Amino acid sequence: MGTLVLNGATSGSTTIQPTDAATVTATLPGATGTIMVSGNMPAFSASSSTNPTLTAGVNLTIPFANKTAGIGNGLQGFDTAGCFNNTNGTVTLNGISVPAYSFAPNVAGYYFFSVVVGIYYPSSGVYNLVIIRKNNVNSIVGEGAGSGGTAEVTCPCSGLIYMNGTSDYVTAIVQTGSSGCSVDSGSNGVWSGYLVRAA
Amino acid sequence: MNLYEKITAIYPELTIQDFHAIKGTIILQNDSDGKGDYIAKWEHPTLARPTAEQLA
Repeated sequence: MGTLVLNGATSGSTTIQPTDAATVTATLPGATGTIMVSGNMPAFSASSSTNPTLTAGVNLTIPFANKTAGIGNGLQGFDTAGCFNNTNGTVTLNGISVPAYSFAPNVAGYYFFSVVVGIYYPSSGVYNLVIIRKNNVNSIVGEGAGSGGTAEVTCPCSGLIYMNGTSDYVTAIVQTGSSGCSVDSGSNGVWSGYLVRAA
Repeated sequence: MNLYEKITAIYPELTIQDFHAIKGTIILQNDSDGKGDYIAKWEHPTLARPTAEQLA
């Protein structure tokens, strides 16, 4: 049998195309849900080429502006569904208003996010935070490990967040209790996320 | 003088913990959009939010 074409109720169609010259078995699970394919699984990975100076006590949106160029450590950035705003102003992507350096997927579901940055030489004993914010509200908080002083403090943060696919966005921010230090968001910083499962 | 320094000059009794992103009652923010630092939240129980004139 060749391709199987399923016509939509009113328009459109879905074509199931078997792999040619190969014998495989694809088993559909006995559960109701949405079949996930690469076309409806947004993912992104971005880095920053700048190392912004931090002011004590100020939430700074990390300027992850590179999503296609090399993002450090030999990695390449990507934005599979055009959902990541890598500019310093609010833009509309897929019909969604997306603030600077934020990700707003156009598919509802549960997304895994991870952000890692280093902070150059914060004072010893101060707090160093990286936070993933959903719709400008703190969602996942990561605290830097290390004593600071003459050492760089690495701040990791990751977790799962539900996104509605129509208006939700996430932003990565950093805050420290020390003035005069800076973010090492280049070679040691990556902000990424991907859809784990649909809603 | 940056915003944090201006606020702590007006209210010397404030500490860095008052500005903590999770535990603090004052949230200062910079959206990396070129507009600089601003007060996103002021919920300090006793100190009033500084006026624009005080911060000028």
